[in-house]
This record gives sequence, C-alpha cells and structure tokens, in this order.
Amino acid sequence: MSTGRLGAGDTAIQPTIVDAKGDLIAATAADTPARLAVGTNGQYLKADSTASTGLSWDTLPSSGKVLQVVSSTTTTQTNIASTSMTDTGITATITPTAATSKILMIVSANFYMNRGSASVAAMALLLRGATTIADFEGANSAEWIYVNSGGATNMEYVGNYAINYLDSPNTTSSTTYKLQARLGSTANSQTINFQFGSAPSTITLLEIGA
Amino acid sequence: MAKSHQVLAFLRPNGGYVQVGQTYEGITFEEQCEPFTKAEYEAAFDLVDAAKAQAETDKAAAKATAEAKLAALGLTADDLKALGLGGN
Repeated sequence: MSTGRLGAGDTAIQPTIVDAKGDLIAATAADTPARLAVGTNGQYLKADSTASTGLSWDTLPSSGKVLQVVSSTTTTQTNIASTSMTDTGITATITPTAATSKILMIVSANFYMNRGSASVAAMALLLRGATTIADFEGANSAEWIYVNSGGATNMEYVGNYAINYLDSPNTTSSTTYKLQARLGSTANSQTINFQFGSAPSTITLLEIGA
Repeated sequence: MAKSHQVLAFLRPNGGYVQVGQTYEGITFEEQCEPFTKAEYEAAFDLVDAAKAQAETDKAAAKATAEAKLAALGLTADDLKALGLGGN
C-alpha cells in the first residue's frame, strides 16, 4: 500500500496529525479532528467532557481493588469427638502481592452435630499460620455453636455457618488460613462432623489492595 | 447401613478421637481414648444396624402394649390427643 499527501484543498486527515506510537485521532467538535497523545502504560481511556477531545487517559485507582482470589473447597468428612482444637479440613493458602494488602476471608463451614442430650456445643478458631486471628472459643468459653432444645434426650443439628474476616497479614510470603474446631464436651456421645456426607465447605481468600 | 460417625459413637461414646474421611485409617485416637482395631470397627457397623433394628422393634412393641392398655380402658390414641396428651 502506498501513502501520500493530499492537496491543501482536499478534505482528509493528514498523516502528520499523529506524532507518536499510540496516538489517537479524536474530535474537538463536529468535523474537527485532533490528535490525542498516547497515555502512559497501564492507563485507560475514558470519556471526559472537560477535555478538548472529550477523552482523556487515566490511571486505575491503586487502592481497594481485588488483586487476587484463592478459593478452596473440601468434601472430606472430618469427624471430631474431641475437646482439643482440631483441623476441620477447611484451609487455603495465598501469597499476597503486597505487604500492605488486606485479606478478606469468606468461610462457609458445613457441619452436622449430634449428641444424646438436649444440647450441642462447639468452639472454633480461625488461624493464619499458627496465629489465632478470630477466636470463637475465648477465655470466657463463648461457643461458636450452641443449641439447647430443653428436655430432649437426643439432639441433631445441621448447619452451614459463615465466617467473614478481614485480616492484615503484613507479608508477601505464602500464608495459610484454616478453621479449627473442638467440642465443648464429649459427654453423651457428642460429635461434630464437618463436610458431613461429603457436603462441601469452602474458604475464599480475596487480596484487597491497600 | 450405619454411618461411620454412628459406629464411632457406639464404640467410644466418650469421644477422644478424630476421623478424617470415613475409613478406619483416617481415625486418630487421643491419649484418653483406648484404640480399637479395624476388625472391631468394621464389625461394629452390623452391631449398630442391629441395635437400631432392635430399638425400632422395642418401640413398636411398646406402642402395641400401650394401645392394648388403652383399648382395655375403652380409649384410643385420638382420645389422648383430645386431652392434649400423646404428642402431635
């Protein structure tokens, strides 16, 4: 293909209207083309009535955006008949891209509890590595799950409990989050089964830019 | 058929174990819990089934006995419900 200059009276856009790689041809008014210089790397083009061409380059906001998502689903039934904190199998690992990022955790824990008594009770901890970041056990023995039917001789309780927690891990190293649980008591054959009958539990980690 | 958690509760009603998955190999016994063997675990499924069947039989027999006693008094289960007794 050949190119050439048009005569002065011809109505066509001259190639000299653009000056650099990435330049665009926009309009400042009807029948009035104009050069829009290329933006910088990573910028996006937005409509902007205050600009002469009605367009301008802008930079995406650096804070508050989701930088990555990690999600893990487990269906392995885990039957806990213990008063010691035990892994539930609900776990996920993320490597933050910035130490200033926050990690939003969204946990959905499927469980089935039963006991030959009127009540069931369980405690739980949400951990980052070996560090407790959300305590559903507590010095005052507050329970994560507690149901009392009053007078029943057998209790069965099925649920999908959600936990949402915003963490500031302050690291760019691989970081594992997990849910642990235990019973308040093993008396009366009490147990708690996570992922009961292979029902799914999930944990989703969202890295939020600072 | 009995489920694994029912078998575990049957064998060790005081707890002290964790089972990951539903096999014997996934069981971890805590110090205070006396371990049982794989054979005992597998055999217990039948024992739990038998216990459940016996419980159903006993329940039906108890119901029949109670109904017979009521009949001897000239009453029915509906009469008890009318009195606010006998459940739903």
